[in-house]
Amino acid sequence: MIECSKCGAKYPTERLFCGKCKERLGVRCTVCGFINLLDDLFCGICLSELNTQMGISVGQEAGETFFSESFLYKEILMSAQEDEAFFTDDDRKISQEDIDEIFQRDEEG
Amino acid sequence: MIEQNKLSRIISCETIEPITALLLDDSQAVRRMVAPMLNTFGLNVVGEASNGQEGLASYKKLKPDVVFLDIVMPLMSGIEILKGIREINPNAIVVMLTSIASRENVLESKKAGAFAYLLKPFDVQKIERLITEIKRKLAQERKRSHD
Repeated sequence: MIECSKCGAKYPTERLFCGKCKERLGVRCTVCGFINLLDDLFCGICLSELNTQMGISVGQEAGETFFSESFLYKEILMSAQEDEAFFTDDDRKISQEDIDEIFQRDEEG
Repeated sequence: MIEQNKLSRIISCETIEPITALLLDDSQAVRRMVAPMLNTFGLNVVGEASNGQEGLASYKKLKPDVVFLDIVMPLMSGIEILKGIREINPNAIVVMLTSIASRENVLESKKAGAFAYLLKPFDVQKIERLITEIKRKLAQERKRSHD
């Protein structure tokens, strides 16, 4: 549970900003994209040093710009889009929830 | 957010023996992102490969406990690789990690024996839950084989 230090709003999962008062609540790791707490020193997923990352982009809101500027994340999105280009039939697309259901149902059956 | 105590619980899981993983994806960026993530969740990533032939060779050589496998790969599709792996080891745990959200691929993967099918860009917490599930399954299998 994440709690906004300014207005007290609570959120079940990590997020960059408070949806009620705009206070910053987290910092996104520029290596793997995980949102960490503001006082974390290392990323909770890839263990990259967060202080260095914050130092680079103070005043530019590292978290906000991550999705448009991270080389790694761009690469991953591009790779996913290339893969998707093989399967263009949108009508046949299913969600992760549908997939989980298929796997669950088969396990139960 | 992965809390420290939660992470420790995952790492100190039900089994003492390390769980080894093989990562097969043609995208270096994906491998660079997923490998440390799996390591953080207590898996030991023992190998990576960017195409099917290398992937199958690595599987035979390394005999990992779990394989994370992309579908769109050069030389062989992920589903062909999955079938190849399951021929080598019918009990192999293979997790499809792909951006292909087609029902046909999901059903074919399931039929070929995939353990799970995760869509990219993936939800970290989902991977965490899945790894916990895999650890439990392996712990039970290891206990059975020791009994």
